[in-house]
Parts: sequence; structure tokens; C-alpha cells
Amino acid sequence: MTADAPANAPADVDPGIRPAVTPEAGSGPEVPTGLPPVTEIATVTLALIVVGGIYMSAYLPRHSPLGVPFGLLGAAAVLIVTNLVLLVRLRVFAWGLFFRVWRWALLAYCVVAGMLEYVFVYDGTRGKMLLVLSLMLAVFALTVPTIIAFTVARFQAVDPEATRAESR
Amino acid sequence: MVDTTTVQEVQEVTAPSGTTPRAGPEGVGPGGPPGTPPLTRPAFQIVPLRALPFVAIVLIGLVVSIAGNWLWALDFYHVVGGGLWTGIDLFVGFVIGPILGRLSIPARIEFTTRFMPKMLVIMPTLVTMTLGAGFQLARHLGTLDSAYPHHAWVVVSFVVVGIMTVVALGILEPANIAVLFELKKPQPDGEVIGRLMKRFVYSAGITGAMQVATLIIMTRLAT
Repeated sequence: MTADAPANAPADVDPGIRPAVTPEAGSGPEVPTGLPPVTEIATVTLALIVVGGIYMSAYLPRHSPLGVPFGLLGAAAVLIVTNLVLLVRLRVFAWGLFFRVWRWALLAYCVVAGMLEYVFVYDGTRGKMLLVLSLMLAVFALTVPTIIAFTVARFQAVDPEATRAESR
Repeated sequence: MVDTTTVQEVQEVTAPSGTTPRAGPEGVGPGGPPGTPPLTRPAFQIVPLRALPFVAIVLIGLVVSIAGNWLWALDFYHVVGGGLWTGIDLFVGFVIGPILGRLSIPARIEFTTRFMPKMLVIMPTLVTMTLGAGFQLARHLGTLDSAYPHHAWVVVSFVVVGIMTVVALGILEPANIAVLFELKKPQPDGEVIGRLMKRFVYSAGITGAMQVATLIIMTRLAT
């Protein structure tokens, strides 16, 4: 379900579809609705990092001016913090599955980011240039698992009462 | 993400009690016409663990090729990885996608449960192979150098790859994984699967179109 689409479509509209949300509140697990745009923000974050990478690569083998990459990195950091705040405020959400998927995806993308870091170091990148690239890779390795985990977890039915009780 | 839960060889996908089993808007609903037996779907792992050793071998080979500055190996990784990546993207986006949309619901579910886990392993491996080897190859051949006469084409290829990266990692891969998790449920939601599959096929089409641009750029650079 998307955040803007009603998850509890009436049975007479979509009779073949399992109702995603139980109509009566408190009557069992339901797919949360009205979720914040975490995936959209994370995708923009990823785009900023990619733009920064392209900008720096375009100057090779010379070092690019670092103002633009630092600016993009700063914007990406702001978006990550925004996403973190939005996530922390979520109560009714399949947190167990989110973290399970996030951990494995993080492992996979740390391998990818590690390989890229290896290539940069191997090619003799040093100093501030390496710092910016490393921070960009860190953002990359954090952002992609967030997109994957949130996309998976948003469709999971959770018991709001149980979730609220856990958070108390 | 790695699901090692033992599952029955064939799992039944039943419509919930109290609802009339029928296809969803995208036709990937869990049910069929009233009175038909429940749909079945093959057991599957979200990440096929048996494939991971092959992925490890490929990635170790890539690291060794980069460390050893083996031009032939880098060329091999780049050409083979790029060719397969391009071919699969185009094939999925423009051949498999439209066919998938016309399959019956049980066929679509069965195809998806067998196809998507493999894509989850194959595509990131091919992308890593192609880009890692390509970057090093370009460095060795001097095409990365901003003094290179066709440097503008190289930068355009960066942009194309950048767009594909954002589409693939921001839309395509998450949709792929979410479909698999939905199919793992005792009662998959056909509407969710339909929406995610639509997103998967459309984004595969976009990356397929980007791949045509890549083919033009790469053949231009190699000429």
C-alpha cells in the first residue's frame, strides 16, 4: 500500500483481495497507512550522492573542486536525519521485519561500498577527496538498505495494540 | 533478507475466509473464480543461498583482476558483465514484462517465485562486475582522463549509469524484494503484488531504455 492509498478497500470493490486493514480498530493486525515518504526521501538522498560521484569523476584524473560534493553531501546528511526523525516517530510499523531486512541489506551494500572504497584507495585517492568519497559511500551503504527495508516492512500487517503496548 | 525457513514443497495460496476469491486489479490476486481450487506456489528462498558461493567467486576474481592490473580480465569482466546486464535489462523490460502481464494468475505467481530470487542475486553481481571493471579499464586506457578527446561521452555514460543506479536501487530492487516477502505470506495480497510487479516491470523498462543509450555511447567510445 502506498501512503496515499487507502489500504482498507471495501470487499465489494476488490472482493478477491485480502483486506489489508481490518475495518474495526483494535480487531487484529493491520497494514499501517499514512506512512511518511521515507523511500522517496531516501531515493533523493541516493540521487544526490550519485550526482556528487559523477561530478567528481568528470574531473579525473585531476581533483575536482570539493565545494559542490560537500554541499551535496551536506544535503544528503540533512535528508538522512529527516528520514531518521520520520522513522523514529513511527509507532505502528513492522519494526522487526524492517531491522531484519535492513541488517542483511546493510551487509550486502557494505560489501559493495567496500569494493568501491578499495578501488579508490588502490587508485591513489587521498586526502579530502578520499574523505568525501568515503562519506558518500557511507551514505550510499546506509540509504539503500533503508529503501529496501522500508519498502518491505510497509506492507506488513501489524497489531497496533501490541505495538503500542511494546512502545510503552 | 536471507530466509532459510523450511517451507513445504508447495504452499497453498488461499483466499481468506469471508472474501470471494478473484484476481486483483493487476490480475495477480491470490484467488480464482469461485469454486476453483486454491492456487499453489512453489517453495522458494528470498535469497537463493546456493548461488552465493558463485557470487563470492565472481567478486573475488574482480578484486584480484583489479589488484593485478590484468587488462584482459578487466576487459572480460566489463564486456561480459555489461553485455549480460544490458541484455537482461532489455529482455526483462521489453519481452518478459509484456508476456508476464498476459499470463494467467497462477502462472504469473509461479513464474515470479522462481524468477525474482534469481534476479536478486544476478543483477547486483553483474552491475558490480561491469562498473568495477569498467572504471579500472577506463583508468588504464586513459578514457577517464578529462583530456581524452571523447571525454564528454564518458561523462554522459556516467550520467546514464547514475540514472540507472537510482532507478535500480531506489525502485526496482526494493520492489523485487517486497514482492518476494509478500509471496512468502500465508495469504499474499494480490493488490500489493500487482502494484509492485508493475513498478518492477516499468522500472526495468526505463533501465532497458537507458541501456540502449549505454550501447550507443560504448560503441561510440570503442570506435
